[in-house]
Amino acid sequence: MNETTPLKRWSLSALMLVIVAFLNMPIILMVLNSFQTTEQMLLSRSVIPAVFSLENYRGLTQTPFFQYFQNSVIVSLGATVVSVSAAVLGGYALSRYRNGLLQGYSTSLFAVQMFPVILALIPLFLIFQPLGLINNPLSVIIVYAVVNLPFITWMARSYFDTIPRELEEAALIDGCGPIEAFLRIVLPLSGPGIAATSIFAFLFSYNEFFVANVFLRTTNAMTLPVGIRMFMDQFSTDWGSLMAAATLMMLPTLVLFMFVQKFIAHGAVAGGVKG
Amino acid sequence: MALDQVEAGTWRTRARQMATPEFVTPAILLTPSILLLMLVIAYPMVQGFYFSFTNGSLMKAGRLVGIDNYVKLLTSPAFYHSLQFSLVFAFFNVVGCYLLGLGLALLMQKDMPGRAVFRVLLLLPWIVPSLVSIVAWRWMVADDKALFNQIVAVFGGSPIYFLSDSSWAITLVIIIKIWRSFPFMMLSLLAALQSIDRSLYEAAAIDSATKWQSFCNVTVPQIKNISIVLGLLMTVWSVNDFDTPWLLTQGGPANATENLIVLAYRYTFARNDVGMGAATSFVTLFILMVLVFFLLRLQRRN
Amino acid sequence: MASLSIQSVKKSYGALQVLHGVDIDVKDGEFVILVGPSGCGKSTLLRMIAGLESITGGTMRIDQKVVNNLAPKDRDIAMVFQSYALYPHMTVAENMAFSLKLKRKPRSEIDAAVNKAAEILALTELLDRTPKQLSGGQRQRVAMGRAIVRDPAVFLFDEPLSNLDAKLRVQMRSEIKELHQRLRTTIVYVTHDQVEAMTMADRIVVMNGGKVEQIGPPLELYDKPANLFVASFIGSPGMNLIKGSMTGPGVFVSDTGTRIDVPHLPATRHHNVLLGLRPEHLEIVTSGTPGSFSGKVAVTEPTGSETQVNFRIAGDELVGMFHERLQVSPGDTVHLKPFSNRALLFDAETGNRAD
Repeated sequence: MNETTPLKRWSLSALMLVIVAFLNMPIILMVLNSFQTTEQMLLSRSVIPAVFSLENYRGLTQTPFFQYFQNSVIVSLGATVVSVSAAVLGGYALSRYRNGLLQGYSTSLFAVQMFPVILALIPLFLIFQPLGLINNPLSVIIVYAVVNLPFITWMARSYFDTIPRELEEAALIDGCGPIEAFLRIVLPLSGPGIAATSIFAFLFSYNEFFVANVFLRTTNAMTLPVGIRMFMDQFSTDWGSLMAAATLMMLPTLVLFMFVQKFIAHGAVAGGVKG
Repeated sequence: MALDQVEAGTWRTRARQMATPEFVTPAILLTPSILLLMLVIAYPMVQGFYFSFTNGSLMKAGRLVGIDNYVKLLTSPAFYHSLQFSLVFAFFNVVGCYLLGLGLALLMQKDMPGRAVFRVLLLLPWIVPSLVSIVAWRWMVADDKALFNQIVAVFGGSPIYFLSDSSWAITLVIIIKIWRSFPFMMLSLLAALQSIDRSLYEAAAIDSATKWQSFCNVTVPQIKNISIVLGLLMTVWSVNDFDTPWLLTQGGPANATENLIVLAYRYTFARNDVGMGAATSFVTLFILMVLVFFLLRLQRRN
Repeated sequence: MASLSIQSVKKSYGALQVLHGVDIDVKDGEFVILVGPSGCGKSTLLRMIAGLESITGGTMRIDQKVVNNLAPKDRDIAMVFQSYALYPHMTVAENMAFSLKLKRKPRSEIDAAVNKAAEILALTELLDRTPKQLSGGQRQRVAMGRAIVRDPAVFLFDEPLSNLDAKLRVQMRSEIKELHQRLRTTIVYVTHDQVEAMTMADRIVVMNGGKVEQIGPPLELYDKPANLFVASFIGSPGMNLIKGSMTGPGVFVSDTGTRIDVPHLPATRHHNVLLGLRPEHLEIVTSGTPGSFSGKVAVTEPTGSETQVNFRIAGDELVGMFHERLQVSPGDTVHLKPFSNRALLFDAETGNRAD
């Protein structure tokens, strides 16, 4: 009775297209406007740029944008290395073993995600200060590593669950100890999973604002979100540069997202919900 | 005998899971993670709890002042205002995301050309950095000629200054939060919808149920559980959100969009009162635990 | 090669006990098969021999040495998994060489061992392929090759043929048996297929519910099953079991009144017995033959070389297997007589043999 005719399907697509465009309007507008000079933007207020210009982007070279970008990359890479390393080991333990300790660990990992991060930020600020870690990327790297740990551990664990245990058992019989079996057999097979996990870790760190804002306060130390926000406050009328900066900042996010978007499908998100 | 009662398949799986009673290897594997958690969460939290009973600043440690901070906090109008705002924010965010997410998920269930592409594009508001979202939205509401006000003008209204009008700022920040959060809800609900056994719908169709009846009697019961869990997650994430209100108006105008986290932040970094900031954080944690407890109870009853 | 001794071995998962004291003695060079229904504990026992599961009670010895607390790699065993468990990121040669590489044997020794095993298993051309590129049967041989290279004291097989199609299974059965004859290794093999067990084993261990029901050479289990479970499990189609009692020496009368002459069986004091008659131990005789009984044909199932016939005798159902074409149709009345000395008697309450 309800056969989806080609007409129906194409009308659905058309509808979805409108919805998607409408929902993404803020982003689309921002990107388009980044190609208009501020005067043009304020003047014409048109959706499509009247006069296409790269002025804003050129102008960014006069700002500390590149410094911010560098800081963002350093911090994100550092956080990724730390958190993925810890999470891969932890995820493997959760995947292969069961006991009270692991159950407790799994539950606390899930619970920690619920805590307001400011609970730890205030004391950490006071701890880091005398250590000279304020305005030091290390402070943010460590905090990001822990904030991302639950999700990254869960991702790693889900991935290891897909590797059959018989392989490690065969390795144990062939002469490996349990950790050797992990290093020689499981890890080499985990390339794709670890890559995806790392990209997620990097993405979350790169996008993050709050923690970076607390610990990185000088221009030299700031990451992109913090720096651009300062710019937004100080030069609230320089829309052009703001749009360009925001658009550029968004690019790595989009590129990385393209690589992992298939992992965000079904199981990934819903499973995270179950902890 | 016990074995005969246990279905062979599950028994074997359970057996495999309990196969390695080793404690040493997992303990070694967990050490880096546990160390990180101790260093960055556990220890600071204990310290923070201590600070909440002192009157220190960011520069120097203070003296113990007992529960003064908590009393001050729980008797301040600022606290109740931010509590109210946090709850209102969370409520509308969850409801808005749910409705939008469910609607889109229902649409995305249908087969159509380009569906996979649409699904990816719909995730953009979630994946884009918070700062970029705010910059984009700001432009749309910045002044009297902004896009939103152009639309308002078409309907004959006068310009709204979103960022400087309390009620409109609250409305805007909620809308932005819904915009940033709905993709997650949509994805999760889509997964839940797709896991519903098709034959249930076919049985309903044979019983000549209308689409609406089918929805109420087949779809809704099946996604009830996951909906509650999602609601819980969204609530927690909403209460914990610093970025959206702060980046938009710094909790303004006149603290209209100040939630509990922004309040704690202001106490600490603007008023230099670490004790109050810590106290606010712990009270927020307490409120969250209460919320989670009730929502979990609701889930268990289902 | 070595002997394997399993003494009073028990296994529990928390409060759930799955093995209730198992005793098995495997002699050096013997091919022993553990067989039983799903959940009987045979795979668990095999994994305990391998060291993949802990031993809750009892003693396990490989070559006289107690191995209860030894890690798998210290037990000198090799295992062929049901899913083969070949390392996907290594070639066939690397898969087979892995264990020797871990022992840091010299390259030349490793190559020699791998090549020899490859030759025995006809894998020489496949040495550079990865598991992905192999068929099911080839992967199975690589799994065996990996085990052979180790030259272990005991070979363990965990239902290795389950994932193969029927024809390949039959072929691999003879290959494995041939391999055993050639290498004279000690083998412990797990399967749920009693035909595999009957055709390959030196001795069979029938397990049920975490206990050993009977151990013995295949034909002994076939001719003299110790209890009802073994009698029904071995042989296909399963043994016919008829309720009744012995009214005198050599005379069995079923509860439904059929009299069957079984001269070799004694009278017993048990009044609730089951007469066990294998389908292949029935013959069709002419009416009036002494010691025969009659029944009606319900269904005939000809397979080409044999005919399986389901009979209804008074209230009982009987299955007969005849190695010839029969001219009977459903509804016909036939007269049957059991082969002499093949019938068995079982106590209905305990299930044990009563003769």
